Amino acid sequence: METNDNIENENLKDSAPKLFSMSKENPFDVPANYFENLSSEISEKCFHVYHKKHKATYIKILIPASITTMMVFIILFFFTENKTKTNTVKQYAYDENSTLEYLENLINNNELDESVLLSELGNNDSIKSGVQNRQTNINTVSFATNLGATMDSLNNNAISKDDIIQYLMENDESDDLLK
Amino acid sequence: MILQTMEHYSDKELIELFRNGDNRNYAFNLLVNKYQSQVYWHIRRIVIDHDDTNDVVQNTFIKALRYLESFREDAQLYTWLYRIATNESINFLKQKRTKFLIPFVNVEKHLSESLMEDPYFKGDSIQRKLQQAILKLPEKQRIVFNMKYFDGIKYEDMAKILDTSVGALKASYHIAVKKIEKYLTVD
Repeated sequence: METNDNIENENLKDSAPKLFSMSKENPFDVPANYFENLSSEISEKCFHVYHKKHKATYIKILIPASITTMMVFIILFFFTENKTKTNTVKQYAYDENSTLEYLENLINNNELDESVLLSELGNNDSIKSGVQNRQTNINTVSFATNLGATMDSLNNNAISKDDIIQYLMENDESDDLLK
Repeated sequence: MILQTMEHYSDKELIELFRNGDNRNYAFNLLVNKYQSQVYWHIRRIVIDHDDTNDVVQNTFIKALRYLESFREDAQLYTWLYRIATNESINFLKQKRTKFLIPFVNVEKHLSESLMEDPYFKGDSIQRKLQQAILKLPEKQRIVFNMKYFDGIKYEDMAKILDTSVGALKASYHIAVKKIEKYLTVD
């Protein structure tokens, strides 16, 4: 049975005799053994690209996840660090207040010479300023004032710190101050 | 399971074998072996040069591998592969225009000139003239002519490959035949 395509071809032969008289032999050529090697080349390249794309996808997920995890750890680290510092500061502040109170009691009870206290304060400006600012006890206020005056006189005298410490060690039965 | 030789696998069996998972590589190799020649010559008639054809063929099968898992079996496998091959060939020629900065020069004219120096063209002068006549056709009309005249593909299958109506394809082929005949008869 003639198909539509065959009928059509027959009609075209009449309108294009030169074309349909020509050989349909393939005029193109390929390098030797090209098709024998082609399938293995294609398969190798196909699966290399396939695995590369999947690897790339994997890396695209892994890198942002790693960065996010690192950022979380960094934030947690700094948060924990600040909390520790705050606790340390609070503790230090607690220790400062209790130290001031202790020293005041010693001086009020004449158990501690102000000049010795001044020497021990040394560069500890925070305790020194804490002493100067304490308002709860009149003695403390005058004590702070005397401290300032004593500090000046001490600086003008030739008494060394070592001498005072030595004195303190010989005369102070409790070691609380030196602790 | 005894694996059959390449020739005994239908398209449906190849796809099932591929989707099985265990024989994925083997199934794909069988598919490539089955269609590599058809796909190659279809592309070669479009892009002319052998090395360019080689690149496009590989790109075609890479794409086929990517989408084979989701291939809907409402179309034949070979029409699906031809469709990928045709699109890859057209894209290649578009890139060639951009790459070599030839927007105002007909790329087909460039291909026609390269045909003269092609070491892998074994046809005589009449064959060369026919190929040059085909290269003068508009791009899609050229593809239609090649598929019908050389490959004998049915219009219905061609319609699925090129996503065009049968009527438009018939008209395009008729016009192509007349143009080529005119070119061949002019000295």
